[in-house]
Amino acid sequence: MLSTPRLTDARILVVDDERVNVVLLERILEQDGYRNVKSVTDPTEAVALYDQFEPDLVLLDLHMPKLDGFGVMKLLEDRISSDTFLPILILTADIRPEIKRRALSAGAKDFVTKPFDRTEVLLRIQNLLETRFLHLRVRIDPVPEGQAT
Amino acid sequence: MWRRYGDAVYTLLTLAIFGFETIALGGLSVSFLLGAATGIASTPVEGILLGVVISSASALGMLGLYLLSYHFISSMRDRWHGDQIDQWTEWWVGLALAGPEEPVEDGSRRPKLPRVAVDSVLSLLEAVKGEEGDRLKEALAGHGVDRWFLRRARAGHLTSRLDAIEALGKARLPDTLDDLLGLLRHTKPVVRRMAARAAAGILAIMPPEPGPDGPHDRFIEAVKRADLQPGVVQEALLLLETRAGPVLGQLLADPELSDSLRWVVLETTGRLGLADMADALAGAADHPDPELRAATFRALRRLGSVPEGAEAHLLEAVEDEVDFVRVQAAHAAAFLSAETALPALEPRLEDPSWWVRRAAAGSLARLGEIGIATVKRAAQSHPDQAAREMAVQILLEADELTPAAARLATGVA
Amino acid sequence: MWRTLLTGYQYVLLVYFSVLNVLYALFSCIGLRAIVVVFAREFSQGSLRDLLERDVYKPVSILVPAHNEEVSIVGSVRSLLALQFPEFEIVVVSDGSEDGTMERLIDAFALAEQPWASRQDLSTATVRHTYRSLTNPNLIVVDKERGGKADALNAGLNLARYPLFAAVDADSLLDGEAILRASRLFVEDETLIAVGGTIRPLNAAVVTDGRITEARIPKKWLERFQILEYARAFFTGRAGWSHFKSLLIISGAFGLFRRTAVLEAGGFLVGTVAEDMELVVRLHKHFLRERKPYNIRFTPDPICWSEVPSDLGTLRRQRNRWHRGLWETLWIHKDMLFNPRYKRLGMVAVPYFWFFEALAPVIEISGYALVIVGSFAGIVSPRFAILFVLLAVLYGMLTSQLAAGIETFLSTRYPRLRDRALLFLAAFLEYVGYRQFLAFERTVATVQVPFKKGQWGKMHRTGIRDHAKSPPPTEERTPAGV
Repeated sequence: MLSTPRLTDARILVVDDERVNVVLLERILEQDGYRNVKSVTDPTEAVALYDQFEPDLVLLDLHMPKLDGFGVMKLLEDRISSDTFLPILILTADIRPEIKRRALSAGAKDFVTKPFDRTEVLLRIQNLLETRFLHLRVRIDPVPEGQAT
Repeated sequence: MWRRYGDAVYTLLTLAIFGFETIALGGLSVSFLLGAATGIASTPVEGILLGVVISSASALGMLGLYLLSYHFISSMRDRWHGDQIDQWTEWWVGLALAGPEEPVEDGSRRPKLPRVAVDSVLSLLEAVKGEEGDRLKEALAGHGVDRWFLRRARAGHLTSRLDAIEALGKARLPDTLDDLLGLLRHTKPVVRRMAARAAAGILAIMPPEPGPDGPHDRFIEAVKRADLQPGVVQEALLLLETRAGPVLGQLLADPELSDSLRWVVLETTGRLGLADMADALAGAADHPDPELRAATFRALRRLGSVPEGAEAHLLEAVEDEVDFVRVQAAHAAAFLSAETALPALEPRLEDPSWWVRRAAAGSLARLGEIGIATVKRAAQSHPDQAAREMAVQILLEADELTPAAARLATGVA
Repeated sequence: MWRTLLTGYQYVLLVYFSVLNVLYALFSCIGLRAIVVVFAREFSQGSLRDLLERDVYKPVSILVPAHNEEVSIVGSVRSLLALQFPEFEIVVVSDGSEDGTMERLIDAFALAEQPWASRQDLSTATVRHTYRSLTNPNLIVVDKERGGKADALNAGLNLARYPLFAAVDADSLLDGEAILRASRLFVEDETLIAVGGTIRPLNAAVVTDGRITEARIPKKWLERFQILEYARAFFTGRAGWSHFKSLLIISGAFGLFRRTAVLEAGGFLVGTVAEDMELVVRLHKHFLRERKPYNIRFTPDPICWSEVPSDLGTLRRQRNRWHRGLWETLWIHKDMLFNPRYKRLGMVAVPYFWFFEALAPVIEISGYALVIVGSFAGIVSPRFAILFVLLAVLYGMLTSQLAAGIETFLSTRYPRLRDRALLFLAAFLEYVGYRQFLAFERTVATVQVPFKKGQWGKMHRTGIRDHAKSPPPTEERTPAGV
């Protein structure tokens, strides 16, 4: 039987081409107790890092040179099996409603515009991670405790 | 895409080299002429020529040296800059995330901030708002950064002014709004443009202040009086983000608003999708200027609704004498009820303008079953060939017709 | 008598050469200031992002005329589809291609044939079929009878539906932000009708998934010299002219135009080899005649990468064609020469192109000939001859180096120090043979103008090697171990 993992053990991957944003997010997460945060500023390296790191949550910027957020999501789509719940939280300065719609239908689970509010982002991250861990638990341990032979 | 340092030296160097060379070449030409007048190519000319050759070679050497050293210096500087930004970012993030118990550094004791530090905090302000953002802004103000930028924005070399104005736009400090609005009267269009953008950015985060003479009113007044290209005003209005609605509403309600500004307001309202402003927009539906009539219907189409008051004007506009007005009216007609729209749109299928035919057919297709049926009928039996072709095209795009059937219908092999 | 004539001509040469170099110098300075100082500051990265994120843009139709481009067409279209721009369409016009161009397109993009109700704003050669892509709804492909590049562009214009259109070469690679950077100028200036971009040679650049990931210097000196030539032409030449609102050329590899303006002027002219330059000159003419306010500008951001000839034969034919095109355009619009009705263009720009661009290679070659012949005939002292040639070469190197210098200000310059050093060296070597060779070819072209109207010649293409699909070239490869 698995012990319930703490949320703060979650592996979080940050993908943003601006160094400043990456540092900001890393420190915010660190301050809130998350110890397992990796980041990358080159979106073309994001997928390789994903394979290696197997994050529980991805914080993704949309507008990046070379490969934008939609491109990254498309590449990740190929790697995620249909019963995996990989939460992707989009953090972008783009306020257009159609971009939000497009991102959410491309696989993102939540959407936050920049400049963002720290508390709000942390709460959303927490929600997504809770859902993710719940999903993992249900998948691995479908039989409730006490009925195991 | 371009580095912003070292170009002044390079320009001077270039000017110096070629200024000198111009004189040298001029001298050479003159001496040659003199020599030719008195005889054929003679030694003094060759002497000068030799001199010019040597000086050119040394100029080339000098230039080459400068470029090579620039390569090295810029490489190192880029790296250094990157490291510095990282360091400062860490510092600023630490400051921003510090709890309320830790006081913000008092600016009076600290030396002036290096530019790198300011750049990094401005980048941070684009990422985070709320408490953390406020702490960063306090720090900026505490170090006198806003005053420093304002000084540079008000006077000095054009490029540093533009830099300063842009920085103020990123910093979004409410106290700087009025100075920026003042710059909207500057003689250079590029300064006006940057100031408009910066002012809009600041206004976007200011809470709405009731009563006259608040920041919104000042902004509106400044924009109305300034000589700005319509694209620039549009850009500024779009940068207002959530504050755009009230500002646009106030502008629309002004009966003395200039036509070009009214056009921009209509466009922007449409682009921002401010559906609750449809009624206010409809006022320009019968404006004497066809551009404004067209803009009204374009906006209504983007908003997806035609208020009752505008219906009559819309039906008139579908038969307007100006073609682009007909086009926009035909597009907007898709949002009327089918019974109202159909009789207005069907005759437009044989409009002389291709764009009108397309808009009419497209709108008919969006009117539901009756509309589609009308288009199908037109595709089969409309007397005008152009109308038939357009109907077929629209049916194809609406997936109501297969390519094979379309080819049959139009007789294309 | 011969002596006086020759001496007189020597003097003319000297003055001509001096004026030309002073003008080059002037352009270098202006170009530098126009680009790095004014332009770079005016258009910041922030406002570029805002264009994308705040909906302040005008949609663009990208026209891609193609003739027998089966090697590179799919790659080009793929990279165009990946452009960062909110709303655009691509219209590929296959101009009577006899190879597999259409087949490759149909395969790669699931093209479905659809009859198209199009406008006929411009008359063109017959359009055989029109296709729409099922996988990419913003891709349209037109298969038409051969009519030439201008004709293909006109056919594309008939189908284009957006207010702006970009004319792009089938073998060019656009930077992801290319359209964004070029089109933002239209947002702020209502009178703008055309924008030209900066082209950089694509050869040897590392391309991954249709995007340039790293700029590299090619191995052949021939290609390296061309890098310098492009830098000179764009950063000094066009930047300078654009600054004075007298830009006469927008490269056919990438130009962004307002559709209504071009239609007003009559579309592209069929039957000339330089339809890109001819259009721009005609736009100037039309709007000046109509007394309508207008603007034609140049953006120095390097946003288009084009394959340049890597063998002498293709290079010769290309330069021959360009020079003939220049003459053809100037001749078609000869009424603009010294015509005050066309203001700055008629009085300064057009004459400059006549005397310092079109005629320059002829005079240059005659200069060398004179110096050589003269020194053998004893008219010119050998010392003078040598020194004169040396001076010409030195000046050439100076202007070359200046252009290469402007390139170092780019943040996307060649990253490897070795590459930049090679470019530095190339600026010296360019004037020891390469320039003279080209001057000779252009002189030949001048003579051929009356005989070879509108002819293109065969081009040898190597295609864009995409490194996502094939292994990258390594420098350490031994000849045996290829």
